[in-house]
Amino acid sequence: MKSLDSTTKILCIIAVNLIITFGISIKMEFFILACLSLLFLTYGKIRKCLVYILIFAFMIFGDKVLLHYITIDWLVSFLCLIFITFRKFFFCIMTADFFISTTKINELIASLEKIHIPQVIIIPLAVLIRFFPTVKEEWEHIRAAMHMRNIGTGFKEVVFHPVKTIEYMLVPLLFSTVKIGEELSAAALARGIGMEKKRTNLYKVSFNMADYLVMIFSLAMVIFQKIYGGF
Amino acid sequence: MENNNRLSAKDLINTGIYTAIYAVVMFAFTIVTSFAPITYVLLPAFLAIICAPIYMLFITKVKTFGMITIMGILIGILMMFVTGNSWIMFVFCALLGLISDLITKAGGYSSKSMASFGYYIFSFWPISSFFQIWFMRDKYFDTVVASMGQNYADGLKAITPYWIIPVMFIYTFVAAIIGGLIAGKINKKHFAKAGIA
Repeated sequence: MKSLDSTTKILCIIAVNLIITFGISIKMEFFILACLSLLFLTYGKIRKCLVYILIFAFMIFGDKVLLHYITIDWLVSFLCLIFITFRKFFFCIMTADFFISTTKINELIASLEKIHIPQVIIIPLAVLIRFFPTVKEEWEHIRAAMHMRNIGTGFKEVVFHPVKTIEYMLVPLLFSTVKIGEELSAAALARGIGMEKKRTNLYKVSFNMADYLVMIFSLAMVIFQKIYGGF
Repeated sequence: MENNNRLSAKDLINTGIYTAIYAVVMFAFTIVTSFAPITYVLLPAFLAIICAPIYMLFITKVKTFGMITIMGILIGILMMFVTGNSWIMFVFCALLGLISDLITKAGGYSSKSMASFGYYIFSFWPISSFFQIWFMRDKYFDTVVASMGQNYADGLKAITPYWIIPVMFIYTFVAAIIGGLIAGKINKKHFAKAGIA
């Protein structure tokens, strides 16, 4: 099966986002869960799908059963936050995870160019995605080095010694990443990222039947939720 | 000479790099501090202090209009597509980026006080993750009433009042001022000496 285009997936995220903001009923939640699970399954991500279903089942169980047996006030308000409020964000996170785990960067850039997102957004975005792992790696190294000198970066240090933590963590991080960043920008310029001409891409962007189906379906769901209030 | 009013490729790459650093530090500290509800509510203030040096170092590279706006848009994209926040947050981030860009531009991209003021405005963006709970308040309390009963819902309403958002703006603003001062000191002590600020 040919996989979905990145544009379709972005549209899916926006659709789920909109539906959640309108506020949804519990039947609708099950329906969206089923749709998203189907998307995960078509990509063969069975384990991830199961984990999400289990988390959702736990939250529903907590909301409908567990909360009725707890009488301590502060605990109830805290659990309410987890079971009810977090459940609203749950679908957005699930869709975002679907997008990230099934999209390659070059596909994404090709799709964004196809739908005429301006270069001023695409270039920084590509750099950002490319640079993310590098910064994370540097961060881990600096953390390890600071642990060796007995300077922690946990919760306690951040809250009680914010200035010290900032200085010991951020200064080395900025020094090393700025240097790497300059090398990266030199390399990118050498490959003609600043060129005025249109760049070519190996990846061919094209919509197929599945794309149109998913797009129309998500659009229909948004309208259905907005006008008829869902199931 | 390069035209100063247009974004060069180097500007765009710089924007991407600093946004990446900003985002990694932000995620790292969010994970560290968000397990307790009280620190979760205080998170915008923590981020305003901790991310200040990155933003202020970024400002020293900014010479053209648009870079801070793009940073705001990118953070909005990250928050919407990676962590699954609502589209309200994306709009809010882009808007704050634009406003602080205009403020910094008014200072000619060289005035320190205008840049700091731009930062105070920019650091409001994490508050928008609470907007969703705020806007959907009635829907949220409908579900609470349905599962917990009216008495409980009234109690919860009393401890999460409407004025919590304005209060957040105030303490984030104060934290951003502190962050700006610390960032200025760090810049002078480390980066200016090394010649990268």
